Amino acid sequence: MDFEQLAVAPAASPVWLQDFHAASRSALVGVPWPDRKTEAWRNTSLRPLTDESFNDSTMTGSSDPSEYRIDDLNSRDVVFVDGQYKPELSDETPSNVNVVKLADASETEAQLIRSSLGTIVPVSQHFAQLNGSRLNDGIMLRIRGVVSQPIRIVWQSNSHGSLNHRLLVLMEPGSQATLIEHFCGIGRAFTNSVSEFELAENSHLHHYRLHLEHEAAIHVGGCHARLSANASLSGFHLGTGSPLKRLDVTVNHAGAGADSRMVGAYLPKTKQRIDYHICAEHSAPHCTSESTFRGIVADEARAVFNGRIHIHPGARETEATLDNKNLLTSYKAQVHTKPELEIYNDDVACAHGATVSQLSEESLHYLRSRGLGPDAAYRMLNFAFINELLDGASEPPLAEYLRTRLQNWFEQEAP
Amino acid sequence: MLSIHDLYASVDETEILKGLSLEISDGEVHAIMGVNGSGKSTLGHVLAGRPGYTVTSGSVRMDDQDLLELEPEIRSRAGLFLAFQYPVEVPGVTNLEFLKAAVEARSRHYGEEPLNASEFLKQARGICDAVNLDQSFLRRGVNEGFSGGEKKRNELMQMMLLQPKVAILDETDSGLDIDALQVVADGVNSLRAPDRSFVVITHYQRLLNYIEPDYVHVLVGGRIVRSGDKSLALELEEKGYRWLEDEVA
Repeated sequence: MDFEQLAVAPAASPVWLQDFHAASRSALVGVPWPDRKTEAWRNTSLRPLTDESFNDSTMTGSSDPSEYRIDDLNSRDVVFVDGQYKPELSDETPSNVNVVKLADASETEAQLIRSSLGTIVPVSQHFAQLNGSRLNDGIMLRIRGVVSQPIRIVWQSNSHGSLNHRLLVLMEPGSQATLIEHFCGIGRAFTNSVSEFELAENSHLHHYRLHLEHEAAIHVGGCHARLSANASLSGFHLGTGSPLKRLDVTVNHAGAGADSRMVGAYLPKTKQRIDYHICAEHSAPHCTSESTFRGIVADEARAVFNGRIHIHPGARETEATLDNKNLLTSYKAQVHTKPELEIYNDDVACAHGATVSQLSEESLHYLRSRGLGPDAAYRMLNFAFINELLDGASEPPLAEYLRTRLQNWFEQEAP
Repeated sequence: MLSIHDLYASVDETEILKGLSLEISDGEVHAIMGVNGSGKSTLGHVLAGRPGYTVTSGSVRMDDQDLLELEPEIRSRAGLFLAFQYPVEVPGVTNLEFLKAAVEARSRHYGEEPLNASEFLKQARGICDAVNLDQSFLRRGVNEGFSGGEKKRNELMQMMLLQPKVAILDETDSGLDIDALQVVADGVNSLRAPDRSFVVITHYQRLLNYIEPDYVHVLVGGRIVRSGDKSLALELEEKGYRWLEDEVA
């Protein structure tokens, strides 16, 4: 398999989009398909992707998005089913949120889109270029002012096909919003997703990206943000495992005083894989970034966490921290955790730490000494390890929804 | 109620308890005193079934059961409670969830109907007040960021909810100021009952002014070398432990 071969542009697109397809495709010319010798893919095999064809677009089940509702969240939902935007299943968005289907963009909108689309995701992200070369049904969200209701993008997959998800969010200066990307469904598709966030000056975004799709679904994708001066992003990531799940998250602090906080958790089990590559790019002075990721790796699962902080020469007085903690709950579970710090300015404060451990015997005993059986004690401590990250969630109903999911998850997880 | 006979136990192949015997009847309060390293806390841990503590010989019976054969959670459900000297912090689980899970585990074990959520909350709040902890502690992570005194009161709260038959207090007085000591003692005294016994492990006689023991035992080198009534504690306070150690030597 190679990238060029997969870069098949959809027919009948507007001219600007055809140009975008061509540019994305040209970025892939001669790019070799990644293998174990490619540093960024050293610990994650693409074989589950190359071994299957993913050309069956037949629905395998219900397309009722209400199954994936989040109680009490009171969100405005923008629904995609198998990569296609479904206005009829979506809620009306507030007046200060414009939803534009890329292929239907007016000339002015297209101009706006072109100035950001594909410029936030790093060019080295070849799967993102592949996504660009096949781009058809993506949307742009333009957000002005303060949006009080959370916007939820439901990325539902019901088929066994190859899906191309694309989202561009433009946060206007001073705007504020909460945006939840919710990947769900019973499809065993291959999803290639790219979300880009352009945060203008003083804008503030709470972003949640929940990878809760079918356990056989393959996902290679990620989300990428560019922060202008004094913009702030708080991100929450949750990923369950699958035969192949590779997620890249980059935050570029491009304007002075930008601030990002990222929290994440990954939970592979059985023989699943999950690979988070996160990167904080600091190109402007006085910015802060804080990344905290935790993983629980069970059975024969394997997780990869690569945390990168890249401080460019002009980014003086940067404060950047990176923290990764892992629990291995079986002797055959594996985690590859790697901090990568590249710093070209002396006037910065950076800290990083990574741990890999097992549940503490002392804590287990404490719980058992109060009457909890070993399974219940084990579940409670696993849950606690991740639940701690939810305490800071900005949307309590969403935290509650995830707590229930996590509890059920660990319920099936007892040794 | 609790009968310990000629108990030997080791930690990391070092023998700590060396032939300890103790009979505790219903409703009695026994104080166990001794210097650091005499085996007081080891006794508590062995009774609670802590991993890493190996019983090499001897027996412990609680009611009609061989306690040492039981898993730690079964000992707890059967009515044994150890108030830890160093309670463990469990961030990410609220105190309330933890207490509820503990009470429910026991109800399930005995096939009883679990308390409904609002009754349980009411009870937990009442006990919070009784141990002088603000009710916000119910919503905080178990022992997370609690001061030493708060942790001890939290142990007491668990004890009051679980209503054990045998409660072991492992240096519950250490690190407490006088006011907190009074609260802990009041809690313990309120639980004193004809069918409930206490083992109070302490360094100092002071606690025994608040919780009056029926018997005082002195542990030296892993076994009880002297037993008496509360006047023994006063004698120790006056003379120190040295005279007993010398006697044993």
